[in-house]
Formats: sequence, C-alpha cells, structure tokens
Amino acid sequence: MNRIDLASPVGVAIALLPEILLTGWALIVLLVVSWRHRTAQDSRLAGWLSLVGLLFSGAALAALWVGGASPDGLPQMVALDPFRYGAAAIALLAAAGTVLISLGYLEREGLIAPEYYPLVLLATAGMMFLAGAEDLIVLFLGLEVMSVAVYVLAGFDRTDPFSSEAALKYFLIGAFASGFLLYGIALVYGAAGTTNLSIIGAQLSGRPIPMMAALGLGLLLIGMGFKISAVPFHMWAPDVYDGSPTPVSGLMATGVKAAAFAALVRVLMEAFPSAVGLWQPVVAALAIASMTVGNLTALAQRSLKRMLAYSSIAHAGYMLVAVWAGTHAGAGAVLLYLLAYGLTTLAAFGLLTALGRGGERDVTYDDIAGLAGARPAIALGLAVCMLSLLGFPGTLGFIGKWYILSAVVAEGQMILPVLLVLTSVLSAGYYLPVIMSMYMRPSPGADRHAAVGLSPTAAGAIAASVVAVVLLGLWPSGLLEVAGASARTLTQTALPLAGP
Amino acid sequence: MLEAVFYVFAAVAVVTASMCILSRSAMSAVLWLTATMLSLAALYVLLSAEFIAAIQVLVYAGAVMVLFLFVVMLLNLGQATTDMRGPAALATTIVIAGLLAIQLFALWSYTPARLASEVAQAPQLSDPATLFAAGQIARDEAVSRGVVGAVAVPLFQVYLVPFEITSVLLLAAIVGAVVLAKRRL
Repeated sequence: MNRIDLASPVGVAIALLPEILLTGWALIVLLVVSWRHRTAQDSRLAGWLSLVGLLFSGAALAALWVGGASPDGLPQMVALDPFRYGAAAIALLAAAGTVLISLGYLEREGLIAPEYYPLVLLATAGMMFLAGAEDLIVLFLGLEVMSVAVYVLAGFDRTDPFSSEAALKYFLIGAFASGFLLYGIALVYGAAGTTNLSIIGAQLSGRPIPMMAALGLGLLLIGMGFKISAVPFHMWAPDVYDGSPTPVSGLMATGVKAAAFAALVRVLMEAFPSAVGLWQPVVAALAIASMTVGNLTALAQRSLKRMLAYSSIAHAGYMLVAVWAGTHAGAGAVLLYLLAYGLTTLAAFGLLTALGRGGERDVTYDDIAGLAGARPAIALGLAVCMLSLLGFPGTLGFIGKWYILSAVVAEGQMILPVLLVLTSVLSAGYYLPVIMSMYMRPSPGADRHAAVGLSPTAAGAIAASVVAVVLLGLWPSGLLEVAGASARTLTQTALPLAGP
Repeated sequence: MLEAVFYVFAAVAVVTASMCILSRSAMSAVLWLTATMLSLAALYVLLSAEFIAAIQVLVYAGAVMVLFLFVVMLLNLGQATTDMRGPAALATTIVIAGLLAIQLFALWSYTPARLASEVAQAPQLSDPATLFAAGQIARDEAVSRGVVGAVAVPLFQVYLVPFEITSVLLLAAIVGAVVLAKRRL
C-alpha cells in the first residue's frame, strides 16, 4: 500500500500521472500534426503516435493500480482507488480500439485531418478525469473536456450534412445538460458547503436531506442522464450515433458512457449514501424506461447503425439497474458490464465500418444477407458480438448481466431483474436477425460483398476484442474478482467520515 | 516618481488606443488593443488594485485578445473594408456621439464632495463576513496576504487540479473550433 499525500504537488502529480502523460502526449501529437498534416502518411503517423501515448498512460495507470496507491488522509480532487483505475482502463481500451479502427477508416473515407487523433486523446483524458473525479468541480471539468472533444469528433466529416447535424445536436443537447449539471452542483455546494464528494456525504449524513441538496441531486441526475443517454434524456442519441463517423460512434457508446457511469456511481455512493431512499426510485424509473423504450424502438429499426444506437440506450437501462442497487456488488457489476459492453460494442461498430461506405448509415439487415459465405471471419465476429449483446451464455455479455442480476436480487428487489430478463429476451428480436441474415439467407449477388473488408489494424483490434469477449465469457473468475475488489474500495475512504 | 510612471503608462494607453481605432487592418487593431490593455493593467497597479491588474492581464490582455485574434483569423477578413460614409452611418455617429456628450455633461456636475456624500448615503451592502463563515476567513486572508494572495493560494494550491484541467478544456475547444471552422485544413 503506497500512501500518496494529495495535498502536496508531488502527490498530485503521482496520482494524476496517467492523465498528465496522456494530456502531455496529446500536446506533442498536436505539435507534430501542426507541421505534418497533408498526406495520408502523416495521418497514420499521428495515429500510431497516439497509440504510444495511450500505452504510456496505460502503463502509468497499471503502476498505480498494482502499487495499490491510496490517499494519505482525505481524498482531494481525484480519487485513488481501483474503481477509478478500472473505469480509466476501460476508457483507455475504448480509445485504443477507436484509434486502431480509425487508422484505415479515415483514409478510406477521405478524412485526412490528423487533428482527429489529438482530439481522441483529449477526449480520453477528459474521460479519465471524469471517472476519477472526487470533487464536483473536477467532475464537471472532466465532463466538459470529454464532451467538447467528442462534439468535434462527431462532426469530423465536414462534407457530410448528417455528421454536421450530429455534432450540432450533440453540442446543443450537451450544453443544455451541462447547465443542469452545473446548477445541480451549485445547489449541492450550497447545501453542503463543499464540492468534495466524501465530505458532502459526511455533511449530509445523519439528518434529513435538505431541500436544496435534494434539488441539486435531482439536477445532477438529469445532467448525467443526458450523458448516459437514459430514457427520457435519450432523444439525441440515435441521430448523433447515426450521423457521426462510425469509429466515433463506437467511442461515444463505450468510453463516454463508461466514464459517465463511473462518475454517476461515485457521486451516488460517496456523496449521497444517506439519500438512497430519494434517488433509488428515480434510478429505477430511468432504468425501466430505458430498458423498455430502448429495446422496443430497436426492434423497429432497419439500419444496423441505428439499431446499435437504440440498443445502447437499452444497455444503459441494464446498467442503471446495477446502479440502483447502491451496493459494492452493484458498483462492481456496473464496472464489469461496462467492460463487457465496451469490448462488444466497439467490435460491433468496427465491423460495421467494414460493411458500408460513407458513414454506414444505410447498412440494413438485407445488405448483410449471405455475408457468412463471402466473408466468414467478419460474419463470425459480428455473430459473437450480437450474442454477447444479447447476453448469450459463453460470452462476456452473459457474465455482465448475470452479475447485475445477482447484485440486485441480493437487495431483495424482484421487479427490476424480471424486467431486465424480459427485455433481454425481447432484444433477441433484433440481435438474432443479424445472425440469421448473415448465415441463413442467400447473398443477393455474387460480388455483393466484394468491397467488404477491414484494414489490418482494425481487424487486429476487433479480433482481439471478440476473442476477449469469448475467453472472458468462458473463464470469468479472474475478472469477477478484480471487479468485485475494485468496487469494495469505492467508499472505504468515505465511510469513516460518515460516522459521528 | 509615481506620477512620472503614471504619465508614461497613461500616454501609452492613449496612443495605443488611438492606433487601435485608426489602423485599417483588423489584425493590427487587435494587437494595439492588447497594448492598451497591458498599460491599463499598469495603471491599476499604481492604484494598488493588484488583483484587478492581474485579472486585467489574464482575462483581457490574455484570453479575450486570443479570442479576438482567432475570430479575426478564422473569418479570413483580409483587406475587405466597408464603406462607412453613408447617411445612415452619419446619423448613427451623431446619435452615439450625442449620448456620450450628454453623459459627459452629467459628469461635469459631480464634485468630489457630492460623490462622497452620495456614497455615504447609499444603502450598506451585506457584509460577506456575516453571510458566510468563509467570508470572515476571506477577509482575514486579504488582510494578511493582500488581495492577490487571498485569491492565488486557493487557486494554485487547493484548486490546482481543476485549474489545470481548465487549460486542457480551453485547448480542446481551440483545436475543435479550428478543425470545424477552418476552410482548408
């Protein structure tokens, strides 16, 4: 156990080493692309450089995690616990996958602007700040750094009106949500006199929740609800996922969602454990609405990209069920599900880039008919992704759902688990047709799938994700242990304060 | 001595402000304005308002000017100048100048004695020390360290991390604005 004094500058630098390395590296990449940004080769160089930066940041993160760093005294500004490391690792994985998929994609789509990669790095740094925020100010700033970079990435295809529409919609809704979040932070500060999460938890415990804090909590939930695209704050998600360049949609569905969920869990469990009676019904309502609306609307989609967008709303509902539990098991389930969903969805969006051109907006179920005959590897990968999203036994998606169910059932709640299972069965109605179309329907033409293909880097990243989904789904015990241990430390630092 | 310093900076402020208005290129006008802001900051220091001076440099000479420069660069203004000699422009000029003149005449009637009596009669604002527990702390800090110290210590010690993240946020916003708005990357 390494004790790190977060009051000293050196301690802060050590605690934030992964983020500092990543941001610093983003500056270096930005310098490099400022004088080399004309050719496809320059774009590739920026991409590979970014991967190196992600690797450095991941190494620093691993060092902190393995070293078991913990705060000396009260955690300030930034958390030092395995829950943060786990969420940050998911964000880094999502970013690395996005970069690998983008390397070939940007060239194919003629998006030669290497500024893409520094923006991905900055967005990832924002995600890591958000996931590790121990203070509402850091939480807000991390969210904004992440969001600003992702707004731009969504509109990166400047010649495509749908991409611009996605960026504008995301920006306007995001700014609107930030307003709610900021107002909520202000009210919570007014009620508790601090923005530090564990001190808020201590201030609010042992007395009835003041009206101002309750209002602030509600506004915080609304602000976070937009970012995790929970129903009824989901209206932007389908259009934004649909219009953005596909690797960016993948980053939004995985990294952005992972960081926002990690922050939501931390806020609810560290700052508002005493208000559990207040937020549990709200989270339950959000979860029920997201699961039903997300799955039912996904059933009606013809385009694969839109289907994945609506399914992402449904999965946010599943994770909210785990958040509802408000226990360490629930937090561990969120973390595990974020990894399962992240790996699978990134691979699914990556495979989608192989199927279409110009944003992949028009790839329908009919377009992939007979793909298994022409491109067996891609079809197999997509089939595994669909099964994992469905929660089929033997995949990581199943382990994730099972872990959520066990966490919630342990709290004696029955309605949410039953709804989760029922809506998962419903989701078979749109995941399985993908597999049926690929394997059971004849190809419309002999060379229909001739253009389907992936760049070697994207293929490598997707293959690694798919293999991980299957292997971790078959032998999950190690992963379960890590997720459980990560969640157990979540409120360790806060609990002693909550006493008298 | 102090008076001499004042006159130097005041002269610089007046000259650069005039150059800002007179220069025909938007880019050099912005740069002249930066010089004006900096000399105004020096005048604030002479009034022993160090904090306002620092904020003047940070916010006006720094952030706002960078913003202006980016807008000018992104708009690709070039040599285009609009003709401001029409009757409409003349009418606007007369109206604005007239308003300013009225203000000036209103100020004429103000003597230091009248100003002092008005300030004395103004309703007292609430004392921050009675409103917040932190208000008294802030006042003590300001007495012991000066206004700048009272602001700088929390900003660079307690809130160092958010302060630095803000710079990352601004960088991301700048890169994003250039990527989206520049005509040819």
